[in-house]
Amino acid sequence: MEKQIEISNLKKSFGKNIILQDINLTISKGQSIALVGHNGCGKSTLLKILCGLTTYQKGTLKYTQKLKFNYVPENFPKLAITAREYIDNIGLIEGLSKEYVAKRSEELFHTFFMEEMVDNSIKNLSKGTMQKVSVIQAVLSKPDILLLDEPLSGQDVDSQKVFIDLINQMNEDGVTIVMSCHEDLLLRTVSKIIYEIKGRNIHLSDKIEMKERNYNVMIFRKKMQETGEVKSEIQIDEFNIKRMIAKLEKNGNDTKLYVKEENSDAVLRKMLNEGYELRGMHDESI
Amino acid sequence: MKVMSLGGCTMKAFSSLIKYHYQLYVKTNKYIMPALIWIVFLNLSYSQKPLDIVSSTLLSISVLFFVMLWVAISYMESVDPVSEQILLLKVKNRNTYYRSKNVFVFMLGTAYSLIGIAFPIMENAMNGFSMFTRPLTIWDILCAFILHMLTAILGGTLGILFQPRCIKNRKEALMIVSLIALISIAKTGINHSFLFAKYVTWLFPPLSDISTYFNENVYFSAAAMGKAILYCGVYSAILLFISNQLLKRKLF
Repeated sequence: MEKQIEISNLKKSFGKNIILQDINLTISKGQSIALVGHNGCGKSTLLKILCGLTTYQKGTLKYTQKLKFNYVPENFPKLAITAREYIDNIGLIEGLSKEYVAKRSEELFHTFFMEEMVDNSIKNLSKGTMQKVSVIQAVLSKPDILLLDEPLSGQDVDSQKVFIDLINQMNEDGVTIVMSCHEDLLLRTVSKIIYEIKGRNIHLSDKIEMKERNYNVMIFRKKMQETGEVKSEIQIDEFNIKRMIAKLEKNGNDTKLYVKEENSDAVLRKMLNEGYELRGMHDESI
Repeated sequence: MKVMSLGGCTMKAFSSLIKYHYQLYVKTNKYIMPALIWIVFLNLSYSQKPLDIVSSTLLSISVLFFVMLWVAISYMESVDPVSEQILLLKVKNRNTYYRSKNVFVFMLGTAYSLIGIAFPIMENAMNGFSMFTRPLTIWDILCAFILHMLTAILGGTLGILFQPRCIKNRKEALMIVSLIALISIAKTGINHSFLFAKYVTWLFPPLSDISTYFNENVYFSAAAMGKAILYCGVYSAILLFISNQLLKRKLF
């Protein structure tokens, strides 16, 4: 595979706060890479480093050829011009012909179900529609590398499908995709390689393993009615749900249950029926 | 057909950038206050007669320096960093993008200068050509326009240097730039009052120096004009060079 970017021993910090350290990464033409990790772990920063939008303190970043990057930022700005004006301008700035921009933008507005909104100010559009404008500007022309920072945020389900098809088509046409995302849908349907940023470093993750590592975490507590005493021990053996629980953690009077997504409904129902109070629920990787 | 190239970017793409800056700028309210202040100043300044052509021009260019400083700073602060990141990746040469923003500021400076020149000419015509102490000549108009442009560029480049990308702490930036602007206009006085001040004040924009070149002259002299063009030109070029280097190093 033809190499496009080589990063060695790269370090990035904001003041004294080190975000990324000893990053080694090679990106080759036609790859589809997803960067995952907790919020603030440095995914967006790494995307910006790749395209030269931010500096780094140590290490080297080498482009093996002159590359054209298109970029979908996480938060598209609330501009005062209309979506049509913006896309027309961007196309011309990019050096595309007026006729091509007009034709291609009409197609894309239609594909993303936003024909009726093209003459509204971008600042008046919903977050999802703004994200569609952001995607349209990035796919107006064919880049060498397409950088996507949380590209699905706020988009409706139909537009998400359109987006995924479009990105996969571009990838088949030789465009390298590098994206930062949390959505399982994108990890399953677009990415072929997943890197996890953890502890300031980047680790190659197994795609199947990655998917299986997502759990619903439920925090339960049961209050005894008669005495007011808190029952801290959850009898998962008695409830016949032991096999559905991947991990159990005690934290004071609360009990954390790590449950795979497909079992979470059954566990939740059982626990509520047994009189336990659900104090919180979120997704987590273990 | 061969398309003109401008640092790796076609002329068409460059003019599209200017159009884009214009479309965004007119949809903000950032231009209203400086424009209003400039019009009010011109109205007040030319409400009495007869006026000396040279000294009224010198007063006008001093005010324009401050107005353009305000225009440039408020424009640069209105540019969204994310939209800037997208554009920097779209243009083939990043300098082209920075150049387009600078050119847009200078175009605003040209518009303000034209208003600053047109206003007294119209007032003069409406007052039976008795607005000034002597007849207004083409040379006067040309010199007044050049001086307006010079200070507009000077104020504009100072504002460009103090943009959020170069100096992130806005409170600090605005305090420093205000101090620089005040010293620029008062530096001749400061040099008279403090013996060694001239060794420091030469670093500040040459606004006060322009006034000194034409001090108590009734006519614009070609030599003074040459000195003003040279000093302002070199000074503005240095400021632009510094801001360009800062933009390249600081990124996002």
